[in-house]
Amino acid sequence: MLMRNRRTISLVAALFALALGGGLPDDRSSTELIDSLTAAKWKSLNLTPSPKADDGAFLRRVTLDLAGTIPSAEEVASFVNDRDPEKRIKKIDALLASERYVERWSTYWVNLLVGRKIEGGREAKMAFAGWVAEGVRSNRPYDQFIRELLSVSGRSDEKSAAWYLLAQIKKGDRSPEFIAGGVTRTFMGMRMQCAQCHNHPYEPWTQRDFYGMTAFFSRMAAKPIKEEMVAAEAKETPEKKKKNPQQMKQFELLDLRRGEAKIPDKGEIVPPTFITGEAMAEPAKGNRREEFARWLIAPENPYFAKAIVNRVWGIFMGHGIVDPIDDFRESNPPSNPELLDALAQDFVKHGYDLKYLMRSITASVPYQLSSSGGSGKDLEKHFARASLKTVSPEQLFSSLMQVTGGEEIIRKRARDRYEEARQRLINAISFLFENDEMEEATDFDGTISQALMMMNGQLTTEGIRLNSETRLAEIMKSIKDRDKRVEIVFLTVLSRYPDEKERARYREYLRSHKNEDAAYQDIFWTLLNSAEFVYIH
Amino acid sequence: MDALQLSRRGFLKIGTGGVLGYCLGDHIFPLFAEEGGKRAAAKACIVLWMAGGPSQIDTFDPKPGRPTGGSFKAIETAVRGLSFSEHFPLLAKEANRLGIIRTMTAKEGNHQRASYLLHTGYPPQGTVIHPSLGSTISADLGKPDFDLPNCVSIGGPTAGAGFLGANHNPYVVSNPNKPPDNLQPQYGLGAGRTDDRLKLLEFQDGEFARSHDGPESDGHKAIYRKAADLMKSPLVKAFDLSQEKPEVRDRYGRNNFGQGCIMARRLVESGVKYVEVSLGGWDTHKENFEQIKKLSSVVDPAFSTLLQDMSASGLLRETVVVWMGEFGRTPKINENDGRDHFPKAWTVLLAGGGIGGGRIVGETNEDGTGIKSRPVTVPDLFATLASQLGLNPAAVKVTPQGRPVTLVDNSGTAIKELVD
Repeated sequence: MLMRNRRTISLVAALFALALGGGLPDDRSSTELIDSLTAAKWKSLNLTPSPKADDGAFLRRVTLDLAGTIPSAEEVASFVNDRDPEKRIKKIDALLASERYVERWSTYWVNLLVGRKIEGGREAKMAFAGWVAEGVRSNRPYDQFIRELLSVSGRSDEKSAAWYLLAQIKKGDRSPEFIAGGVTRTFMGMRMQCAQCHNHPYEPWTQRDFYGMTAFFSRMAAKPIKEEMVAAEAKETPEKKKKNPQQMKQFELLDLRRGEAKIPDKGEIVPPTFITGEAMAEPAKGNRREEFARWLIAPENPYFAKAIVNRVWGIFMGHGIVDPIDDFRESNPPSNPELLDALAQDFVKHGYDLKYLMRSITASVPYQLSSSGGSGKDLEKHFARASLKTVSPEQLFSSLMQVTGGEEIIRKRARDRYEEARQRLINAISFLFENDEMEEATDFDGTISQALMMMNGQLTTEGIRLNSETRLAEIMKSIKDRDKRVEIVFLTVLSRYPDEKERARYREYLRSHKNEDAAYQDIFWTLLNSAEFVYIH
Repeated sequence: MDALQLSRRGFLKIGTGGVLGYCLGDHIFPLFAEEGGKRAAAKACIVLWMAGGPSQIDTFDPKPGRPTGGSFKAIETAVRGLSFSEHFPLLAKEANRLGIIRTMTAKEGNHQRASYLLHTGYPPQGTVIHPSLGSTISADLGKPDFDLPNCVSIGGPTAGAGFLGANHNPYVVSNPNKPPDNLQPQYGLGAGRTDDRLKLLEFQDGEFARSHDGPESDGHKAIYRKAADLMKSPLVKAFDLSQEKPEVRDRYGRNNFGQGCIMARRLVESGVKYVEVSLGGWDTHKENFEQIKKLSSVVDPAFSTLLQDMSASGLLRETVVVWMGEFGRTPKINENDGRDHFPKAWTVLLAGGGIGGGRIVGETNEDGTGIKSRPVTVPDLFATLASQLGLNPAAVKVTPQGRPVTLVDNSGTAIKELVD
């Protein structure tokens, strides 16, 4: 009956409320908000959205987005053939509950906050990653996560969260300015850095505004903790110390009683002032950083919730409501302000729950659209068609591991040095993604080096060997039918069944090839190097 | 102005993702390379990138006897009245090939921001990702079907192509002592096998492009074509230093920077338009003098041999060589025996490509704390390089967001003292 559908219930309730003279009740879930507000936009712009993405495309996309890897051939086949009408939302929930979700999103936050390379070295990054992973696993409310990140004080070997700020305190290199610019960009989505040297050319931020924000970080300091002290406290014996001579350098993150933000060349001291104009209340409850963190996450701060909602939206949809996702300014308005506002409000209402936000987005109509089809102008910008997204190095690595069965192979070969071997391979891929710019490390955007790696690199070459425990070798061993083999290769690499044209082409290739085994390797190689593999579509 | 009209006429429907392919460069810039009127003096550019910010006082603008002078002595060079640090005896002999700018000045004292400025000619603004000089040269001077990448970075990654698209990103060679990774299939697959695979790939990508027509498909196809061409090209031997005589390799210095300079020369000889060779370690906040002495002993033989070699073959006439870092270092020596960041006045060296040799531009004051005469800005430097390469500094490119950007900031003027 009518009432069974949850959306219908909300619709009826809304109509009642309207009829009774009130406004629309805002108890719609985020998914409902997304669906109705995007549909309204499409109608107003005369856009016809693309059709719903088919099961294979949806599964691959959502697995990459939530769990950072692609589904196995078995998962694809079973999902595509499943008759359960609720299978998509159940898959979303299963992915959200998986360990891979924790890995994928911890990696994202660590890379965003401290970068792929970190001052302080590998151990510092791992300690920080541990703290982040805890937060992701327990689905810690985002506002609390950021609050601790910005206001933490203490020793880095006790409070790993401190590494975020410690990694940015450089000697003789205007750190408070650097940190203020980074914090406003990452957590408020505003690129204020130009205002460091002069009033912003196009936006209303002044140099004074920038230094007002800098002032919150002007008293921060990092005190190196003497190695002898660390050793003594760990009750290290001389023998132990000899075995482990490289004691990781630890610091204490604290706030001094003095330190001010000065506009260079003018020498004017600017007191701590929030971007909204108010000066920090004196006497302050906590130190300057604590005051800043408190203001940042307060519901009255219009930027905080919108920035994170827009960021997550941009990652999943391939295009922010404000785009670039960290470039909020008057001259770059949101493509759908009602949607942004509504999502931000609902996010706050649900206690800054990131899993709720991600679930809402992935369960929505626009997220599940195909990346092909539809009609009208700027379809991707208005979410009427799924964007093609590039993969990150970690996603590419995980996908390659999945597709080749590489993980088991490395485990077998490297045994107790598995982590080391795995890290070396990730570094080799990540190197190809490095750039020298201010931006976060780029994605697989198609440089020659990346293409050469995919064509001739170790992972590909090892991954299609037949006399080994690769996925391809398994397929060849357990399946003898030509067509079936091609089918499984497609399910493995591209997460879908081959269409008629493809079946015919590859059947022909196999038939005419002198060495049929080698021909399968060629087919596997081809799918691995295809645009379809390397883009999230 | 022609440029603006052309650019607004909308070749520029470029999708998201920033993969422009070559369309932008091909459609607009060949016109501008010729429009300048005079024939370009230089066909290529080599940048010797000194990462960290080299101290000008301890290299090419010594202040002997001054409290800021530090512990190095000054020596005379082949140019009368010009002195270098004692640790550049070989380069001192080549000083008559160099244009020495002693009054480079800028406002960026942060490594990342200054590095961006010195690579793109613009300070980072966040709204636009400017292409590096190398990427611009690749787009505007490089032939799209040239086998080798037109923009190469030896020693590590460098600033990229920004809004010009991935096609013009630098090709990175991390270690010049061995050929770049993955140029050939492992296990020595026959050439026929690779061709078979590429044919299948063409089919497979064709299917995808049909349903997903756009810059991503085009870009993927273009990159794979370039990669395949590179694999097959005889020009690839430019990357193989084992083809050089051992005595030559010795003269440049058996270290990554010295060997990188050889590779740069070989690449330019093969027709590559831009090569950057980097040497890091110049960020001497402490132990300034020990560190710079070491670095000088690497740069001195490499740079001087590069100049001699290229001069002997005539290549220097057609190649602009630039030696620079992102800023200089303070005249004041800090308590760790180091010098800190100093973008106020520092030194850049130019050579070749029509740059007048043995000329000094600008003068710093007695202690090096400020400019006495003739400041030179980064836009001025870029205007100079652009004109020598036959590029119009005022040429406009339009970003995918529709914002017009000139090749060089409008304030830049070519340094007349260095070009006739």
